[in-house]
Formats: sequence, structure tokens, C-alpha cells
Amino acid sequence: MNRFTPPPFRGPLADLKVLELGSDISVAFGARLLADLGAEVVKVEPPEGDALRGQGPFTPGGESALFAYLNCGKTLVSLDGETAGGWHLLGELAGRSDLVIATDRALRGAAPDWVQRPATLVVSAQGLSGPGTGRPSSSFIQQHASGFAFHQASPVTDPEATPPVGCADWEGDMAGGLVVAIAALWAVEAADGARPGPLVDLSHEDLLVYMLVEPFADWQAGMDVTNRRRDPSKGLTIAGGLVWYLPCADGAVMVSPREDHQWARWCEVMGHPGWTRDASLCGDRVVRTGNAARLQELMAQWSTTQRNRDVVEAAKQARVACFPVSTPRDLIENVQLRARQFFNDVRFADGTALPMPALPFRFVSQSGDELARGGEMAAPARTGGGQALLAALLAESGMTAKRSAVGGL
Amino acid sequence: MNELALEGIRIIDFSWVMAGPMTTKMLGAMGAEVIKIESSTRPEFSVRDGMFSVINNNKRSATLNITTPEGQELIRDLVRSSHVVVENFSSRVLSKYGLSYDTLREIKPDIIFVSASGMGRTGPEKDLLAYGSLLQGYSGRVGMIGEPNAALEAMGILPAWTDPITALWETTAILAAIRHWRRSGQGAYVDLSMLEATVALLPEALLHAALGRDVPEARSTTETGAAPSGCFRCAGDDAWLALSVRTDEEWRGLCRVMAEANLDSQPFAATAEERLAAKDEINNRVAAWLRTRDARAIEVALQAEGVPASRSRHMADIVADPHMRERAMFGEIDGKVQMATLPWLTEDGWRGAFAPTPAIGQDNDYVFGTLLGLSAERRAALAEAGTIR
Repeated sequence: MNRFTPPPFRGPLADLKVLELGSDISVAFGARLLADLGAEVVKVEPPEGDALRGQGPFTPGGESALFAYLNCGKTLVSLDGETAGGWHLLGELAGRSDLVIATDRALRGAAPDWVQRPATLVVSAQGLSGPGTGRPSSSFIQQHASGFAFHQASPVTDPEATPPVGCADWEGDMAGGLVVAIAALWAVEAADGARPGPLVDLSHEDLLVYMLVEPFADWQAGMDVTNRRRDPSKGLTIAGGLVWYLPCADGAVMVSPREDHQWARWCEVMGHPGWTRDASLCGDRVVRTGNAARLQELMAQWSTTQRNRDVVEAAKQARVACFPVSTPRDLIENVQLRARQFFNDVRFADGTALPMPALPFRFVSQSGDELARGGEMAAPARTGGGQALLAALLAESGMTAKRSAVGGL
Repeated sequence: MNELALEGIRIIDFSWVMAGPMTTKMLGAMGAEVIKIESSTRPEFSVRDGMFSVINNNKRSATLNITTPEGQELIRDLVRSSHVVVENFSSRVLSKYGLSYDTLREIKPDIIFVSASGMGRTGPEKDLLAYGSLLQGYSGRVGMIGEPNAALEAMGILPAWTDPITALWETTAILAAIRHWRRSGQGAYVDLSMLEATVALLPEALLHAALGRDVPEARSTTETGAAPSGCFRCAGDDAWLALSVRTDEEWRGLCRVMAEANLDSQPFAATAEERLAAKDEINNRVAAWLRTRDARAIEVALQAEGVPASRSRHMADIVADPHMRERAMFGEIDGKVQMATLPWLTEDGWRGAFAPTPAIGQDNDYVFGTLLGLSAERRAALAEAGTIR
């Protein structure tokens, strides 16, 4: 590089400094997104390491791949916030930041006494105020407490046999991470540099409720949202249009030939062009909606003899909306995701490299700089990379480290 | 503190259905001026009850026929005085009507242009027709929720997931772009893929697959590493209780509440490892015990003993919950209960600006008269010609 070479584009948040405190997937993921967008994120771990380092899956070398996904691109330092000295150093770090994102536990459940504290986003199970705070909870329980699980199993034909069901994977917590990132970006603008900055209260339960747009609209319209039993007279119309789930010889597909012209082409794909002439079976969209269950049975007789990729390809040629129900392995190999460089390769100390999702958007600045996707990244180290930062802080505070642990102090 | 941190930012919103409208609702709650471009001839916009009214607060509505040259010219005039454009058109519509980023940046070089589409605007599948429900299958999440069934019941299709998630990603990208613009004067182009937006939230499945392993348990029905853990049927009409025991302390709490079941004297009781190994058996015992019990009473007892537990609540429970009310998650506006416009809370109880969903075309005079300076006669002529409609 010579002195005329501009620095690489770090992202739209390149001037933002964030301090992350506490062990929580939403907090970690929210801060990670800010780091992906260019922010400088310092994450503080306790001397024994973040509890999420113990959450699988693990690489052959025993490192948590989930922890790596949540924490790539951050500076990790180890500090015992339980001690007076550690608490003081946290205050110093907070004072150097534009924003603190923390769990309620990491802040001891109250506004920290750091005078130079910037805007501070506090993430907890049920929030900092209200008669129901402090209920014992977990990621799984929150999905039931918030109503998400109940409404995700509604309507159903047999409520007795179909319990309320939560989101896939860590989705509830990851969605929380998105709200953390949004609230953080709002808070730092709203605070406009005030010290001590405002406290912003974000509860896992609230944000899951916020996602329940349709159940709330139904409640507002006076519908009975307590009854999960499907009204058979309404057919099987799902989410605004006819969507069918068709098991295949391997896996399954979902298909949605909603309009008459799409339906006609879909019948050709299945080798049943004659169906379009059977007005009582599938004359128009209304008839098909009424016969959705019967049509599903008929279509499944065909689809179970087909490979799902062949069905998808034939539907694609016929311009019918049809996609496989992907397995995780399918996703890693997906041509569209690969073409868009959606996966970064994250490399661990033991040599393992794992594909991990990048931000799900391309961000190109007006001058043509594009945020990198699809590159190599180093997994967070087992021992944090923030020793230099800690050493400087200690020197300024006239303190010495009492013990070394994961990252330094 | 200035809660209306986006004051002075004007957003032209072409989006429809769910993801885009949820995005601009949030940005409007932070003080942005959102101008929703609608068409009175499309049922999407003329039916304004139900979900529409929940996700279109904090906006102005202007009706315009963007298929005419006059309509497109008005849009270009509007973009000239705006900061952000949000759209989820098909690629064909974008170029056909001169609304692409490349066209609009000629008029307003520092525009922040945010495009949300099923697959993204590049790649071999960029033009595939994709509905949110299908994307939930394509993203893999449908295969991870509940049990496969022909009716797609309890498989994560409803309530919508991909759309609200896309809205959260979109809002994040726009806030970052606005901060960047405020500091550098630079606009941006954002090309967001709903497929990627959904897949990015499935790390456990992806990482296991990359390591050549299967996910040990479906997290939708139980908490991995906890025993017992699940959602259990109680006495009464469709009453369910979710509980999860992760630590020895929580286990002892459960044993006290279920004293007559003698859980603590069973061979699996000694350690968390043994309990995990006997998870099915413990879950069965808990299920049998809870089947005849009142969910509300047991929930209170378990929580008092420090055991993570909750009834599986529905929206009627949530709206009536004093905790939610005190936290201003719901409030009455003009006699109607509304949900907060932002999912977080300031120390003063602020949860976002709140203006009810506008009537269609309600702000035509403001947009075409005040902002664009068109005379009443000119506006009437454009309405007569079907451009403003």
C-alpha cells in the first residue's frame, strides 16, 4: 500500500465504538451485526470465559462454532466485573465507547454508576420494570410466555395432538439480536453524545410479542384468538394464497400455483393437464381453495415418486413458484447463496474452516465501495485479542492485573 | 435525548405486503417522514383493516399511478427532496418504470436505496417468483419446526416469520446507511435477500451440517441441555405449560413442586448428566403429572421455586397482562387498543411516535401541493387524468 491508496471500506459504522457486556445470544449477535457494519466492538468476558463458549457444536479442536458465529470481528477482553477494580475498568471502557450493550445481569440490574457512560441498551428476559420482571425464564420459555409458540401452532386440525411449538434453531434469540442492533443504532443517535447517556430497556418477551402482527390484528378485529382449532369451512388457505407441501421420494417441496395460468402449467408439470378441464376439482382459485386437501392428496401421489430437485427444476421451467424444503446441507451448497457470496469462511486455531452467514444484504456506498462478503475470517481466539487495550487501561488507572485467564486480566 | 432521532429524514416507500411496511413503520416511529406511495386501484391498498392497520402507522399516504410518464416524473421530483427509497418491486417493474437505483441516483446522487426481494437482485435465481411462505421452506426452517404434515400445520408458516425478520434486517441496514450519510454525505445501495435474511438466523443447523453432524434435538419442541423440558398439556381447555430444568437448583425446585411424584428418589435424579440421559422418561413423568393440574397454579408454584416455566399464552392473555400494560407494550389510542410501534422502552416509557394508519390518499395535498409545489388546478388535472389516484 502506498500513501495514495485509500483505506479499505470498513462499513457505514466505521466511526462507532461499542462495548458489549454479559452473556446472551441476542446481545452478542446484535453487537456482531454492528461489527459487520464496521463498528469497533469490544466484548468483555468474565475470567472463566463467556458461558456461550460452552454451547455446541464444537470444532474437532473443542471450540464453540456458535460462539464464533456470534463474535467474529470483535475485540475480546477478559475482565472480572464482580471486583471493584474490574467494575472501575468497565466504566473506563464504557467512557471510551459511544454505546454500551449489556445484559441486566452484567449491570447488576441497575443503572451503572459510571459518569461517562454513553447510551446504554439493557437486555433482559422481561424488562427492567413491570410487575412480572424477574420470572425465571429461558429462550425456550420466552417463546411460550410471549405467545409465539401458541400462535405458531394455530390454526390446527387437532389441537390436542398439536402442542404449541417454538421457533427453529436459535431464531428467537437471533431475532432479538436484530432488535438489539436496531435499538442500539437508534439509541446512539437519540442520545447524541449525552453522558451519562440514557438507559434503553429491551426485553426478550416484548420483542417476540412485537413479531405477532397477525394474531394481534385478529385480536383487534374481535376474533377468538384463544381457539386454535381450524375452521374446516375455510379450507387450507395459508398466508394469503394456496401453498401446498408435497412429500417427494427424497425430502419435500412447497409449491404455490395460485393463478389459473400458473395452475395450468403446474398440471402440465405433473403430467395431468386434464385436471384443468375438471371444473369441480380445480375450476378456479376458489374451487381449488375449497378442494385444497383433496388436491394435496392427488398431487402427493405423484410427488412421492419424484426427486424434489427434479420437481423444483420442472416447476422453474414452467414459471411456477416452487422450492424445496431445504436441509441445512442443501443451504450450504445452495447455488444462489454461493453466487451471492453469502457465506464467509471462518477459520479456527485447529485449522477447521466453517461456512458462516454474512450479512444478508449487499451494501454498496455511493462511491462504489462494497461491504465484503464471502471472504475468510478468523474465529475469535480462545484467549482474547484485547490484551493491548487492557494493558493501556491498566496503565492509565495505575492498576495491575491480579490473574490471567481467558483474555488477560 | 431526542427520541425522534430520524427527524428530517424523508423516506419514499413503495413497499407493500409486510416486510417493507414493517420497516418504514419502525423508521416512522423514530421520527422519519414516511411517504407511502399507493394506488387506489389495487386491493392491497384499498383494504386497510386487519394486519394492514397494524404495520402502517406513522406514515403519510399519497396515491399515484406510477405506470404513466407523468406519475414517474412526480416520483422523480419527490426523490429529489428525499433521503431514502424503500421498494420490493420485481426487477421488471423497477426498470420498466424508471425506478431503479441507477435511474434515481442520477436525480439524487446521495439517495439511500433499499431493495428487498426474495432472492436478492443478483445470482442465478434472482428472478424466481418467491412468496414469504415458500421462502420459509426454502430457507430450511419449515423442516425444523413441528412434525411434517400435509396441511403445514404448526410448521412455522404462520404467523409470518420471513417478512418480519426481513423488516428487522432492512431497518438495521437503513439506520446504518443514514448514520453513514449523516457523517459522510454518501448515499448507499442495499440489496437485501429474504432468503438470506431467514437463513442467517439458523446457525445451529448450519454449523452442525458444516461439521457433518445432525442437530441433536429440535429446539422448537424442547430446550437442548435441559431435562425435563417441553410443552405439556394441563387440565382445562387447550391449556399448556412449558418448563425447562437446566441446573441442580432448578431441579430441586421442580421436585418440591412435584413432591408427590417422588422425582428426587428416582435413579436419574442425582446429576444433570443422568437427567439428560433419562430426558424422555422424566418428560413422560412430568407430562402425566401435569395432565390433571391447573396450568396457572403450577406456573406460579414453579416460578416461586425458581424453575423456568410459563403457560403457553395467547394474544388475549398478552394484551390483558398487567406487566405488558405497565410497560406500555399496548396502549389505547382514540379508544382502540394498539400495539407499541417500537419493541423497546425508554426510562420515560416512550415506545415510538404513534400516528394511526393513514386513509388512502390522505396526504395527497401535502405531498403534491406542499412538497412538490403543484397548484390545486394542476393537482385536479392530474387526478382527472388518473395520475394521482
